[in-house]
Amino acid sequence: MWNRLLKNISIKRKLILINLFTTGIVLFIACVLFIQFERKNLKDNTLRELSVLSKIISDNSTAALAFDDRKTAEEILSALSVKKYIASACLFDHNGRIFATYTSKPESADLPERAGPAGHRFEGDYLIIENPVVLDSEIIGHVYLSYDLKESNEQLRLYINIIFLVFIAATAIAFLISAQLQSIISKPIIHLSDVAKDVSFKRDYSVRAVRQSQDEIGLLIDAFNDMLTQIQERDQALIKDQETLERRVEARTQELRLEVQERKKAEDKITTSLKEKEVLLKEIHHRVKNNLQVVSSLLYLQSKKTTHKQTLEMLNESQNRIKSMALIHEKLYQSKDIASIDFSEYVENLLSHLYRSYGAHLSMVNIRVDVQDVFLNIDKAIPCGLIINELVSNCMKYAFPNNEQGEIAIEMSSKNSHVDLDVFDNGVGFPRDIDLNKSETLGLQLVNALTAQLGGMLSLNRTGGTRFTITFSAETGN
Amino acid sequence: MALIKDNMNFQLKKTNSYIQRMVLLFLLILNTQFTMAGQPVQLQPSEYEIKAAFIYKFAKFIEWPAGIEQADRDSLIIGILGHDPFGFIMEKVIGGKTVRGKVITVERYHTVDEALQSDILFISESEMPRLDFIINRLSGRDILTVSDTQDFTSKGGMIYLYMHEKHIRFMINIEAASEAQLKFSSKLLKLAEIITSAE
Repeated sequence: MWNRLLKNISIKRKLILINLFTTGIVLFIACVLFIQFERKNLKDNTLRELSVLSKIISDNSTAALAFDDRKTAEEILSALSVKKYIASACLFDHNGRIFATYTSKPESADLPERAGPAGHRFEGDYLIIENPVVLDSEIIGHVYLSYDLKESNEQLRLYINIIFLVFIAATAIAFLISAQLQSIISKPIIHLSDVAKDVSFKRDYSVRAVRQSQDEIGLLIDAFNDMLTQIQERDQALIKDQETLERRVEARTQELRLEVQERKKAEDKITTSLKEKEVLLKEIHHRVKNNLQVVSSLLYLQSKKTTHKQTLEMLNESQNRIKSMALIHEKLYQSKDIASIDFSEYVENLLSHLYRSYGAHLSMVNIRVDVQDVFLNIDKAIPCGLIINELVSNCMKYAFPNNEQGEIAIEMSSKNSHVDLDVFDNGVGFPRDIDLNKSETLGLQLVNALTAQLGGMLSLNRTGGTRFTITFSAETGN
Repeated sequence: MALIKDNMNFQLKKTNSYIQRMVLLFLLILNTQFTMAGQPVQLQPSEYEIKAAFIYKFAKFIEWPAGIEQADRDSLIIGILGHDPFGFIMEKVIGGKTVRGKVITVERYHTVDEALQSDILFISESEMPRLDFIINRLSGRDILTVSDTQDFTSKGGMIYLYMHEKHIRFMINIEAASEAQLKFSSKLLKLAEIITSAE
């Protein structure tokens, strides 16, 4: 409890309070004891005096009692008037009946009718004492005295007041003295705490506290100063270490910078050579395409020299096949990524080309292309392009012989590097007698061979039209 | 009652006959018995009872030159010289009482010479005609003289008992007392009317 009460106040105040508290408690105890002692003393004195007084009265009144002289007895009692605090007194004869009386004031006449037991007793504000009157070892009567305690109570009150004043004065003096003397302890501590504050605020470890005494606080100050010295030394060592470290880091950084520069140069070189290679590849693709174009043109020129229908058709088909391959190379050198081509663009281009060749009788046919995110490299693109070329050419040539209304759809999708290719028409339908695997037409033979080259599966579905489905892996290898 | 007794005493003093004394005694006994048989009222002590008590109580406030506490003395003697007005009352009052440890005995005397051995001597009214002789005879002796006869103290007696406002009071001739070397307590003197022989 004390700790909590004294927690937030300064050492100076704490010392004063502790001193004041100790002094106060001790003084209080002393005062209470003094008052108790004085009370007892006062009572004892009163009793003693009253006892003496009763003896005197008793002794003086023996003759009056013996010779039945009430007048003299009352004279004797009336001598008590000099003792103001005797409220009343009386004498009883040997039968215990009232013999003579005395009262200090007429109104305070509250006398007993008969003698009571010997000894003293307290009745309200009065101390009563009764003693036998003895003459020659014979009890001839009793004396009764009533002592008014008001006066002694007043005396006690006065005494308590004085003690209280002494208590206040002593506490005040104790306060003044402790307020002066506390600096012996608090001053060096306050000095130390000031220095500590300075150190922690300014981060200046060069200041030192001054020792003023040889006691524990002196030791504390010495230890504190010692600590400051150690911190200072450690700081200096740290600064030195840091400098060394920084120098080392600087050197290492320099090395690394050089290394990075070299690496960058190498990287630049690689990038340059990669670009050169790409350009070269595009150039090659361009040339391959041009050559294939030339081959196609040659075949075209050749077809002009003949009128034989079958030959013309064959030449035309060959032209288209070459064209579809040339288109692959064209797409390759046009695309940003030299490694693969976007098939949606390719299929669109291929179909518009094929339509130009065979589409004269297809004005009522809706051609739909749905290719979603299919990218293939050159190894897969050329067989796949040729398959589309064969199947679509087949549709265009045979599915709608009389310019019927219908639909040709090419759907391609890729999922987990698995590619599905669907070529569908709702035309006259594929002849029933033709075996897909043992076809004698070059187109279907090519489709079979190219599917095998792709490592894929070919299937034919005839419900609601003709649907060729080819499934293959987009990844190269095997 | 007191009046009747006074009358009787008066008669006794006058006749001094043995038969009358016996009659009085008989009457007193009767009187006592009557009252005892009646209401349990505290009896007011009679004049002679008080006087008897006074006589023995004086001893407590007086010091004899030889001292009555001495071992060779076994009692304090109260003597009655001449006609005895107390009768058995004296014995009744002092019965069993002591003064400073000494038993009190009562002696009755007819002559002064007999009375010389007493410590306290009550001189009866009957001896008044010979009072000067008696005082003379007792001079130099430490005997306290007491009487209830007027002018006793002025004639050299020491203590005179008298009635005053229904109370018995006493007069002390301090000169006579000091001649007999008897020391009276101041407490006693305080209660008494003091005279000297010259008065």
